Amino acid sequence: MSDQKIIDLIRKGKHSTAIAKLYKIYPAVESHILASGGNETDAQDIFQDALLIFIKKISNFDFWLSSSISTFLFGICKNLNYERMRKSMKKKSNELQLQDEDITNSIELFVEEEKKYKELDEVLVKIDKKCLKILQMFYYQKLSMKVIAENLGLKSETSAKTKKYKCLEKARKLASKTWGSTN
Amino acid sequence: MNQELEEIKNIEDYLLERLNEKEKAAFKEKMLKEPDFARRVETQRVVVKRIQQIALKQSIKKVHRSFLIKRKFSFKNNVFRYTFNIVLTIIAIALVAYAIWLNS
Repeated sequence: MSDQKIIDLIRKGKHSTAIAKLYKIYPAVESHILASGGNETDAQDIFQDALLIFIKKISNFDFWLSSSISTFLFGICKNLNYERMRKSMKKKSNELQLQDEDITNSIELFVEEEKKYKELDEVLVKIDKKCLKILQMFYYQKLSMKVIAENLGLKSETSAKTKKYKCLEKARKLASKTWGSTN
Repeated sequence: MNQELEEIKNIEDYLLERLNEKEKAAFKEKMLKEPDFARRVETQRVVVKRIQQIALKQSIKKVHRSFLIKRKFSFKNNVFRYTFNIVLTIIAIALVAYAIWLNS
């Protein structure tokens, strides 16, 4: 599958197919991390975080990929692995200098956001299952309201839309209780 | 729809860039005039963003698990290949032994 096809899949919301293709790079990433003193769990965690960072970048239509997907994804993994080594071995920062500022910034932003929204995420996964499903179908899978209505056995597109807004209302209330109040 | 749901719809239209220029300008003005409204817009934006992130994490976990299972039972995996070969060898020996026993 070509790089452009993978990018298109991600932008259309067909993430699973794209992610499965991206796992072809995993063995190389794992070897790299094992060779630098990490274990298999490190490799698995790093790769999954790298996928999150990578997909967020690609999802942005303004983003222009200047290298191949595998080079870019591997670059993110290398940087994350460098962070891991720096933390565990307390390496001096000049010993392992990495150049790519864009990747470093993306990683910083990712770590920051995951920390900031940890509590909110925990609350959001607890809203009722049907709500989470309808919101994920619309915002993540990017399905049309017609398809969502059929999928959830709702009478009409309009009732699916109303249901979606009610779910957003619920989520928003929960969020303002945890996250919103402190912001 | 009640007023709150109307507002949620309006914010969604704004976030998904479904408003025309005039509506967008009015929306932005409302945000400037009403800090509470602006806060609700921000909350909704973050909620949507996190719902997408949660879904993405779930997709990655799912693909990750199936990748690990596939790899465990792949011939590229040495442990699986050796076990498979040993089992095959045992079966072959057993068959030969059985054939000899039948002929004797």
